[in-house]
Amino acid sequence: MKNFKIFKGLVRKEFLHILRDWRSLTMLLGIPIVLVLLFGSVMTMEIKDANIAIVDHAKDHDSKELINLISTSEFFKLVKYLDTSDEIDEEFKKGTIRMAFVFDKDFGYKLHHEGHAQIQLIADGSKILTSPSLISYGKIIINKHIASKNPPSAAGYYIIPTVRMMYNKNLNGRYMTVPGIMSTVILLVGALMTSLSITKEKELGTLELLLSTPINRFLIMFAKIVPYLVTSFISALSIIWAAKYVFEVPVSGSMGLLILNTVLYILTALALGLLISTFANSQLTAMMITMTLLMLPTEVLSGMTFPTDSLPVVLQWMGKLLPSTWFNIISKGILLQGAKADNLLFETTILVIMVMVFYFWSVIRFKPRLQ
Amino acid sequence: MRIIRFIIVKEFIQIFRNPLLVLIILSQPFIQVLLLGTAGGDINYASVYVVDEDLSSTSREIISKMEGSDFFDIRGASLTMDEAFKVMEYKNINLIVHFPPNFEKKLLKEHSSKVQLVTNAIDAITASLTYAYSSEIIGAVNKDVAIKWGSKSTTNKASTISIPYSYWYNRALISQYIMVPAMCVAMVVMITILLSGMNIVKEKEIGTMEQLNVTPMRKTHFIMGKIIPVWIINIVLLGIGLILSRVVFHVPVVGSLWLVFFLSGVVMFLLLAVGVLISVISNTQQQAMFFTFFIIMIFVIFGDFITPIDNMPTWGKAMAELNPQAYYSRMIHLVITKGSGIKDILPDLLKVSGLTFATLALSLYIFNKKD
Repeated sequence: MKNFKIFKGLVRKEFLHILRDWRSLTMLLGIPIVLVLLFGSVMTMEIKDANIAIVDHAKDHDSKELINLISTSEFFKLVKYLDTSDEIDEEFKKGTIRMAFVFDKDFGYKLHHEGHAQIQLIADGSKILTSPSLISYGKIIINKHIASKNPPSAAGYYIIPTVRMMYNKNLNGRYMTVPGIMSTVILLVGALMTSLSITKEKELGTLELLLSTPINRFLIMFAKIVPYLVTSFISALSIIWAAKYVFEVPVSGSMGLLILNTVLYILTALALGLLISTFANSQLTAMMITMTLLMLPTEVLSGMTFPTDSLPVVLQWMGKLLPSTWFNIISKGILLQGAKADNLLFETTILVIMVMVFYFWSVIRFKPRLQ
Repeated sequence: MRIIRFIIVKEFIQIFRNPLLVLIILSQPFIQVLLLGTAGGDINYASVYVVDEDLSSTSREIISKMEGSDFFDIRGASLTMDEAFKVMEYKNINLIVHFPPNFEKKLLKEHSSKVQLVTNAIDAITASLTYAYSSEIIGAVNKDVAIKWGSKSTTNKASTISIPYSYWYNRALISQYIMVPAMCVAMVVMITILLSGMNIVKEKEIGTMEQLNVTPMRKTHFIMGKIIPVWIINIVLLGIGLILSRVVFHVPVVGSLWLVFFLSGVVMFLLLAVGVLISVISNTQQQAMFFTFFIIMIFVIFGDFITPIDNMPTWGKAMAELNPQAYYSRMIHLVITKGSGIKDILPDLLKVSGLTFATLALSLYIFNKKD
């Protein structure tokens, strides 16, 4: 078939373009895995070893006992003893502590003779993500301690919560961030690659020549995508490898299913890049559109760092327009929950629809004659 | 010196010649700050599924307290855990609360009884918060129950500690007050590096660089002329972002607004220096694009935006010393949220200036060598 021969020729040309520029090729294959390794290593959404300070006006046996409990807890790391509450402001500003416990002067006395004492907890209000948890943990430790000190006589009734953590027994913060960074990197690199490569041809004028080839536009556009499909696939495999062997993210479900869905996601990213290139008139514009529409929105709205349920409804809907939101659900489902294909049917269908919409919309926008 | 003025005018003409680019640039405060700023970035929601095999007044009281809270959202109930596990898998419920049969009877007779909390720990922070808040609610009901059933004399024997807590700088823990300035910072970092990174390299690629080299203009003047327009544009963008944050989000600016602009201006020079360095090292726009993308990703994610720097391992903290976004974010929060003055941010400002000079010197050196 004549069309297929031309198609093969176009694909070969695209591959040659990439292979000739070995610097770009190394960056293309290297940057995603480097980013995933870097971010996976530092991005952990956990609450552990938070720096705290103690202001102990009482300095008696009771306060010391409680302070010991606090400092040995896994959530807190006692870094400073302060003399007055006024110093807390300075420490917050310097960023040395995130929370402070303040014991009144007569702490022990009040506890034993009046049966009632007070501990003040002060958290840094600018750390909105972690401060509520820190305050809660502080309260839990103090309450547990006082409950244990009270005589376990007929007086007490104790409702004891037992906790079971599903899918992530050790509360490993990476379970959420590593799939998230995977989806962000694949989306950004994929979309950037196609949007820039096509816009460059637009700028140079060779795109017009390309469009005068005697096969239909669909195949021309698809030929442009194919080499990036291959490079993105190689990157994606390396990312999945890193997730499993470097970060120990389990693969509870089928690896094959994960890879299939990753390919689908890569296609979505590439098609989105294609669509962006139809709007851009220079490489700079293409890059700006891609970065500004995809980077921060993906980080904030796709469930990569903040759970989507905690977003305002309007933003939740906007997040649903991003492919990464759906891929996050798919990848987390397969990796952490052992989800099967039928569990994820809805999300997978959405990605398929997105690929088709992006792709056909781009092809329609490519007018046979350019300005 | 006059020459710098001509370059500046030329740059602006080139930008305004491209209305799409102008549109993209001006829309940034609205996309990044206005839109994403409403995200908040805190966790305020958890879905709950109830398995109440006890159906007693105590279990019902705990459930109704959860229902009444803003945080928990009771999505359903059943009488078997099997059903609940399935729902957690399919619908990603955050928490299953399980009251075993005879929960209340056991509490009355044996004075202690267990309630099971099964948390979806994929998102470690939400899981921690869910556990913490559930414990608080259970603790409150526990207290009520102890008072209700305990005899007067015995309950009086129990000592209590009251734990007043407060969030400094942001009493009501309004997440937008923190998120919106953070988005302004991210926007400025991204736009500045994008515009300056792709700039010089474009002239190299289309050949106008050689023509400029023939003119008697000094290289330093050339770079100054390129930097200043982007600086001006970003100050304007920052201004729009700050207006939006005041008008739409009512973000209180505790410190001096002049200081905010001053420190932003200083950091912008560092960002521009980085962009120039990228532009000078690259030979093609595509290479510049890779570098720019890589650098922006690193700056934004290592920059105290989503993950707090204090959570990072030592090498991560070391990288923050070289990261403009980390400095910018810290200083902005100090001034806007904590009301710091120039004294508090002086060490950071000096470090930033030092990095700027070093980067510019390096860029000039490479630039000169490339002839």
